[in-house]
Amino acid sequence: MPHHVIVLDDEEDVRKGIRLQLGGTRFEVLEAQGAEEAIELLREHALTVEAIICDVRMPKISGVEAAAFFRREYRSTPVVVLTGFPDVNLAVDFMKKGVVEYLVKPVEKKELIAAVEKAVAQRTRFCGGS
Amino acid sequence: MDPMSPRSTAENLLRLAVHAAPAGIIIVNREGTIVFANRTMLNMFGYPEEELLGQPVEILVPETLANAHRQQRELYSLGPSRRDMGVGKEFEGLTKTGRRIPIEIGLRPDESENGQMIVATVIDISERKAIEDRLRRHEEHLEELVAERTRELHEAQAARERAMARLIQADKMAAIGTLVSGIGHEINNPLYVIMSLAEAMGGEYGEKIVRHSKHIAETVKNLSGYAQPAHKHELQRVDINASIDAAIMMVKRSLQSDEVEIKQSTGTVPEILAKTEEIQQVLFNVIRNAVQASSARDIVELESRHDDGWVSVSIHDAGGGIAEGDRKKIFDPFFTTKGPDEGEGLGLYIVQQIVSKYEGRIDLDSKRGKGTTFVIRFPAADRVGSSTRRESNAAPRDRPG
Repeated sequence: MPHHVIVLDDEEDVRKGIRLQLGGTRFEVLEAQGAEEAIELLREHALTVEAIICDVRMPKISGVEAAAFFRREYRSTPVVVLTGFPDVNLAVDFMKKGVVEYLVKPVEKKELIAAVEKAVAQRTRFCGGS
Repeated sequence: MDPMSPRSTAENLLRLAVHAAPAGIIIVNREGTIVFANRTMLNMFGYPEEELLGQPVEILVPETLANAHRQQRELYSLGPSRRDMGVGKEFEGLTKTGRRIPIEIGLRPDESENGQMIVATVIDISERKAIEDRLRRHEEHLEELVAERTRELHEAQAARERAMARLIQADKMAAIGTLVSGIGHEINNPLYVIMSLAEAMGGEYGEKIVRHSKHIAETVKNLSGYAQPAHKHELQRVDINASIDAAIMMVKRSLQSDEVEIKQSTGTVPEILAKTEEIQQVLFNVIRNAVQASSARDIVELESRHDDGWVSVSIHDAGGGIAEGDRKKIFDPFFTTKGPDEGEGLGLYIVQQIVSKYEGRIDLDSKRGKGTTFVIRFPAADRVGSSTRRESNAAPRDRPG
């Protein structure tokens, strides 16, 4: 069974960058340009999505709203926030909403992989293994 | 003479008038002997008539002035002229009891059947002098009041100017903070793309791109990160003396030299509410600047104090001071007076960001050639809890690297 990670970012090059960094790991990237697209992907790959990497500043539905929705509707799917806008208070709010990691761009490959692995490990703990 | 004759009556009236005159009248002959004194004069100096008549006029002059008076009188008798009462003719008289009284004298020479006589009119001006003294004292007091008020106004004006400068500075910093955090987003996103592509590219060039991208990211973080308000749960009770120790150690490690002595005088101070690492960062940046501004064998002095709910740390160096034109700019990002490899000009900007965040303030006193003192103040967490008082000359010795 594939290990999917949804990458939600409005910038295509950023999505490609994440894909590159996760390349060579067991994770397969599913790209979403907006929150609706990400929700579609979640429905479609409900059993195989192991984590969501989510941007904050996006048109229409922001990362804050999207992350809250994912945590509410897809409780077992951990969210990693990856933003270019460092804000301590925002980070704290995300953590309170159950977001596992809050990363500030630019991150190195090993940092991103470590964050996704940590998120997935937590999901495994909650779900008793997948 | 018949006492009832018209001539005798006129003489009596004249005598009555002379004795009743409000001014003292005294007549002295060419030799300076007193030949007449009216009642006012006698009362003024406290002599009975028989004791005064026949005495040299100097009996009425204080001893210290008697010789000069005698000489002047002799000169005057060679060419006597009328001298009216008035300003500038004030003297001192000596009463029988030895009391000195301020007097004003008018002189009028006259020839009589007994030779040349000098008629002197004498007024006791004690009361006038006392009033003048009181007026002078009032005037002086008034001048003091005016001077004091002027000083207060100047101080108030200076305080207003300082407050205004701080407001402008805070405003500028807030504007920069907003700007850089906005720009930060615009920089970080493409920077992430560059970095991830460079990682994928690998090789020497890829690694170089990654390294420089990280440097840019660090700069952006320094510009915007510290301005963020701290979340309540992140705040710790920080012992500023312990932070000073930690900062000195970091400075020692970073500059790796011992030619500048750092002398501490840490007082008993309450804790402050902040993030420990940020307070250490503030102290590290300012102490490092102080050491870098110093010459070999100079002393950098640190002092912590508690004053009216504020915890302050002063950092003094005996370096060259900050040029007046630079003082307004030293907190601006990327402003530096150091060489290209000694710093990017963010140190004091970060200091200002952190200090403002905790509602503290920074005061700067710098004179060209006399060194610089930074005083950094933070509000005390509360009045409970304080660190131990220590005096230390133990020399964490450092020098510019």
